[in-house]
Amino acid sequence: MNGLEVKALTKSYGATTVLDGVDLTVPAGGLTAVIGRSGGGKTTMLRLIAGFDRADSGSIRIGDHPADGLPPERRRIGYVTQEGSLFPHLTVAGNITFGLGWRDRRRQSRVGELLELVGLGQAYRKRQPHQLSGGEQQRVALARALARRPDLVLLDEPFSALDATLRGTTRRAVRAALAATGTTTVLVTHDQDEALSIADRVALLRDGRMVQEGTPMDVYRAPVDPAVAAFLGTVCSLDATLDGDEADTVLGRLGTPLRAYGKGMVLIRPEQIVPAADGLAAIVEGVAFHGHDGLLTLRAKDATLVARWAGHLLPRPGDEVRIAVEGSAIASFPDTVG
Amino acid sequence: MISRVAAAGTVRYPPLRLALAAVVGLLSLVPLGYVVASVASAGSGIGDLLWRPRVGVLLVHTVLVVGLGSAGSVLVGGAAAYLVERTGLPGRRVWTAVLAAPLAVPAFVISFGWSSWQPGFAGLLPCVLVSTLAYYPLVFLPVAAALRGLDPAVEEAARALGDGPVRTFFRTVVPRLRPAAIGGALLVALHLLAEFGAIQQLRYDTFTTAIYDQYQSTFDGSGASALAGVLVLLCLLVLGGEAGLAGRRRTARIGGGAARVKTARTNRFRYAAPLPLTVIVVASLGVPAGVVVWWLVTSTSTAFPAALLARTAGSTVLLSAAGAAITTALALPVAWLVERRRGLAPKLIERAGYVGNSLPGIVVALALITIAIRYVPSLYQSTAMLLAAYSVLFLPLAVVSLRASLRHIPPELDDVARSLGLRPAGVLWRVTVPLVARGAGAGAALVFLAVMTELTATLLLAPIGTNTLATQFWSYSSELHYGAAAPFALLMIVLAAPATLLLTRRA
Repeated sequence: MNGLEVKALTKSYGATTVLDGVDLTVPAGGLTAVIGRSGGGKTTMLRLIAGFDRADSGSIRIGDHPADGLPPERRRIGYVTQEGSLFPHLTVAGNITFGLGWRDRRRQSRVGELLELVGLGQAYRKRQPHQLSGGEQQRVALARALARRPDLVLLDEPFSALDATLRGTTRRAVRAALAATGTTTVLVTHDQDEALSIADRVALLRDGRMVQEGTPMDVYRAPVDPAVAAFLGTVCSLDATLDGDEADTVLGRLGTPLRAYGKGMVLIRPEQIVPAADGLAAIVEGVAFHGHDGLLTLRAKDATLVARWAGHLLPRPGDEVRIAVEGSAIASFPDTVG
Repeated sequence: MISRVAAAGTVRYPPLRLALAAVVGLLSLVPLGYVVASVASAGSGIGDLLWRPRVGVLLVHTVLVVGLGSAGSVLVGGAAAYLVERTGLPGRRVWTAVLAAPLAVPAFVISFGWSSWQPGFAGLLPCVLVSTLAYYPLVFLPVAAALRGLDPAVEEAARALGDGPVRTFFRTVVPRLRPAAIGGALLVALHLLAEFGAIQQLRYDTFTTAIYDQYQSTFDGSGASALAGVLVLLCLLVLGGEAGLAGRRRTARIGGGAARVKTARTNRFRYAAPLPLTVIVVASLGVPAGVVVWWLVTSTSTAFPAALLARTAGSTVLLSAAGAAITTALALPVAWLVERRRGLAPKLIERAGYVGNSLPGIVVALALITIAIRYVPSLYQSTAMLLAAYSVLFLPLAVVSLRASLRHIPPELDDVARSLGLRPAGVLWRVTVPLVARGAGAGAALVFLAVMTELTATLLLAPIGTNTLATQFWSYSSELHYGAAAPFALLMIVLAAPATLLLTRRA
């Protein structure tokens, strides 16, 4: 069974088409990350699924019930926003039990269990939202969303307002809580690292359409076009002569995912270019050092290459290094098609 | 941000709230409609009514009082704000409260203090002086708040770029205070256009006093409403000025960095500042209070009719509380719609409310009287109609407070509450109402104060036998029974004080 089925969803605001026939299927219990640039329609899609806005056309099915026309309060969803949106006039316990009946609210039933689920202690019950850090607020927001055992949880950039250290721990806590409850989840984010690291599946939304959907590894390793490839991570493009399943490049003969012939271009990931004692000679033009690793700009036979090497292997600008490619190209494109 | 834009795109109004807000908006437009209709029905006769030397004199008088009074308020209010906020004088909070206190003292009590002490105190300059003393807090409060809210980093940047302290003040501080000062000045101008009691007492005439006299002497609507037409035109001019300046009103704080805690500033005026501030306070509060007490103690007409005082105070508090409650309740759908939905309908309804508030009480009263007599005679001189007039007059006070607190509630909270299973009514009850309670309280306090000191509409509309402290004070003081009037003034100030204190503590 699928946890969420979105079919041919469209939405325009005035003359601007924001969603242009979006399809999305999320397996029950899975976490799908929808990624795309800011303003690309991700949040609009989430708001349509939640029922805050009405779609122009298309259908939405949540769990085993169609959701079209239902108001948000009857869709059995949980919704976590960028800032958490805790109710400032209520304690943590009051927030978590907000969606429960009044008897459960008074008894504060399930508060302890839910706090534990998101990795917070019992001491948090009586705190006010303003006494919590951003990461704690997001955990409480998730506990609140999970309290009603929703069929679907929608996360709208829930980590982007947090600083880097909090982001990692909060992400792990949220992922663990969602996995423990087996809740179907859609995460909207513009951060491809986040999507690749915590999602079961990744869907890429661009100009109001889903351009690719698959496991993080598939999407990263086999992007459908250069723009997708570049969005998911740094790429190194090489001029190539395509020859069926392979291509001739400055770095030698590489396997390609698609059969094509003639002049063209192939893409590889920078981490595929490795030091090799008997490899091609290249001059180091620049080093962008990141600590654990670094990006090298290399020049070899009039071609500019980008390589990612571990920090302890990095040469200095001006050095000569010898390089080779591991694995095959992630994408290839003949010139004639573009 | 995206969610707000999205909400703007789908202009869906909750039908009940829209209907309520629309009714409120229409109610606010009744007085304007009355003026337009009566001017139109007078037709060519209107020319004869208006093309008189008398009208020219009134026009000059009104413009002089309004212009000079607003300028005086900016001068006094601005200087006071600077002295309180920027000299580091001791007791800043106390000074703020004391300087805002004239808001609780109606202008006609201040004029009573001065004119019953100095019988020759009458005419234009006394009018300007009393106007300034009564209304400078409307400039003082926003300018002081703006001074407090300025990011000191901007001034430090100017100093680092080579400006001295004085140049820095005029190049970086003054421009950022302009919106607050202009907004305050326009508010003063609107109040002065409507001011009746103080000007009547100081034996000057403007349109407002002339309308009152015309109505009282002839009970004739057409002459009064022709003058009201001119007055409304002047109000619209002031409002237009506000709309024109509102576009440039933004003095944005750029960048989301943490605002630094401001260090206490002191300068060489620190110990000199209390002197001018004391002069302001003595003139606006000390003189009226002293004179009221003096009459209480010495006058032969002083009487302490305890029963009358208690009854009048009781009906004043009841009317003010009812007015505050009704007006705040009416303001909620309007404020919600304006803050949460874009589009034409909310904007029109909000504007309609401002038109109602900026019309002088006398015009609103005339309109309601005429309409009641013509269509619903049973409403004439009823408490219901008086409360309706208060709502029309003071709706924006409640709307502004509610909007300010609604603006601090992220709309996402509504969405989250919906996703947690609440219907719109439940969201209103369990999220919106608890969160706007403070703002609603502040708005209600403002309306309470305004009703308590309202004179013109109450004089014309109150049911026979219903007297408020203001009207009772007015009838005694205009008969020169100063001693009899004094206890009512005192009681009015005592009752208004808690609400004022509440408001200044918030500011």
